[in-house]
Amino acid sequence: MFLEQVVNGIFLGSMYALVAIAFTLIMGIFGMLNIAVGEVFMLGAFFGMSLIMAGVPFHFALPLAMIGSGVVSLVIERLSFRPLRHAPLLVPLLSTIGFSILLQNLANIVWGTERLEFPGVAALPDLKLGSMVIPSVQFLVLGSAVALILALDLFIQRTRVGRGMRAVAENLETSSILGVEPNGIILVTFFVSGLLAGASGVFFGLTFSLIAPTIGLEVGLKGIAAMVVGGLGNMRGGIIGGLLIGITETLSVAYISASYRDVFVYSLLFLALIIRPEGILGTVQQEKGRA
Amino acid sequence: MLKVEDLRTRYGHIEALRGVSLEVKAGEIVTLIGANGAGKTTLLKTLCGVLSPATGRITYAGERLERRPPAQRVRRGLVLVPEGRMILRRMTVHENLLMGTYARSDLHRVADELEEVYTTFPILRERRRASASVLSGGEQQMLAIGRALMAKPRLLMLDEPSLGLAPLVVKEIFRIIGSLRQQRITILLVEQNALQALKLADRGYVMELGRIVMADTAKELLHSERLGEAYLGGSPKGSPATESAPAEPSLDGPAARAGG
Ligand SMILES: Nc1ncnc2c1ncn2[C@@H]1O[C@H](COP(=O)(O)OP(=O)(O)O)[C@@H](O)[C@H]1O
Ligand SMILES: [Mg+2]
Repeated sequence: MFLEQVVNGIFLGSMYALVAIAFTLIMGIFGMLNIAVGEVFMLGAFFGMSLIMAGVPFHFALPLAMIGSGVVSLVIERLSFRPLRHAPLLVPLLSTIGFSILLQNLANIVWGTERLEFPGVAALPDLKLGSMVIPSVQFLVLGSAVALILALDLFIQRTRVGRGMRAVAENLETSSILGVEPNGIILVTFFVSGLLAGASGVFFGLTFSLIAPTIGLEVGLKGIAAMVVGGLGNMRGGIIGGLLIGITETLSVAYISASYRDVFVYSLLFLALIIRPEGILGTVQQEKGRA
Repeated sequence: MLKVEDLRTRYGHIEALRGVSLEVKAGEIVTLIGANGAGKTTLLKTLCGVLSPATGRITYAGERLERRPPAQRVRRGLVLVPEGRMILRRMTVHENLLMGTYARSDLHRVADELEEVYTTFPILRERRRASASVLSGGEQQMLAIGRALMAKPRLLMLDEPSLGLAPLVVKEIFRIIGSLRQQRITILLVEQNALQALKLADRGYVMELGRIVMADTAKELLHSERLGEAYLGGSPKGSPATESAPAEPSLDGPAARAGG
């Protein structure tokens, strides 16, 4: 039972981790939050739902929903960030809050405010491990999430554009002296952030079967918490933070009460902020820098 | 190769370049010396495009550059080794060198330059997998120069490469800069270490408060009395005292001449 809940927490956590990384990527470049990542996640779920209901097979629906979310993320950059590039950081933050509200209302208009059923994609048999039964959907979700994170890591670590992203995140002026075009890198970063948030939205729909325009805010906040717990602007931190929050949430639902789960999740956030304000991986990074 | 005419750059309402004109011919080593705050870094940043001039012309290889973004200037071989090295500390030595090739389109030929840089700087080959943050100051400067060489520069601009380095390391860095001439790289060297820079250079400019106040061959400048007092006198390394006080009296005459 306990182990099963931990496993459930890992599945949930993998979705939070994707959202946390989507936040982290933009945080790394601008040093600020793009609150609307939560809404990109939500739209990813609705795109996935609409595509699958239209008869598109899952292995096409997932990438299409991701690309759709990536495009939404690009629109956010164009309307919410680019015109405010030289404004104080608080201004684009406020503008992304405004954009979130706009996107949520747009979803209300297109898909209604009621919870909608996300179609299932039962294909594989469920896995039995001793007394534990793990639904195949969860494997699909975890496998895809892990594959996406590995692909992103490879992209950032091993490709020219990935190095450009790291250079811009580390020092904008140095990167332009080296011939990196920051505008291109910023677009790539927003697009990739959108891809990940959108994928997470589809996974969320698959796992919980019900989606509504409000899930963006809910999961978005947990993604931010995961990012902070793990250490700001650090991809691996986002993964660990996401898993911790996922596990905390499922354990508190299983053993205490579903209505208190957010209390535990955000207590974890406050605890992390008090004990380790730099995040779990914060110091590790710093020590690497100094060594 | 490079011609700068009446260049003016501002930070807000502070005018850091007040009409700078200078020229660098192909194959030359030209040095620009001047006290702290004279505007040397501002000039190089304007030349490489991270700062935009208010007015003035930058002509490089027959082409006007002042509205071109930095990446296009790097692609044309106008490459800066920035002040303070500006190493990417979160990357490895090898990755820093690769970043030097970012703007290049002939990426299949990068291996040759990489080999060349590793031959020039054996220490970088030894430490190529190490995080750039663990390098010493001298090694970081070598990495910064190596990274710029990876961009295949035709005109290499160096901003105070000797800053904060031990005398032996400074000597080595100057030796390497001198050897770049054989690779047919033209050099614009900004220094406060006037003596060493002038010994290496063909010609020199002296900058004060955003203006060029002297221009001559390096030999003449080395023997110039005025320069001797302000920059070379007593202590060739330029003690902090020489950086502001003695420079002032010489301002009016030549500044007026250069401005006219
Ligand atoms: N980012 C900046 N904002 C405002 N003023 C600056 C900035 N950078 C340099 N300055 C000013 O411009 C002048 C020239 O600086 P700089 O080009 O760095 O001189 P140098 O490289 O010769 O020491 C100085 O008065 C300096 O205070
Ligand atoms: Mg300077």
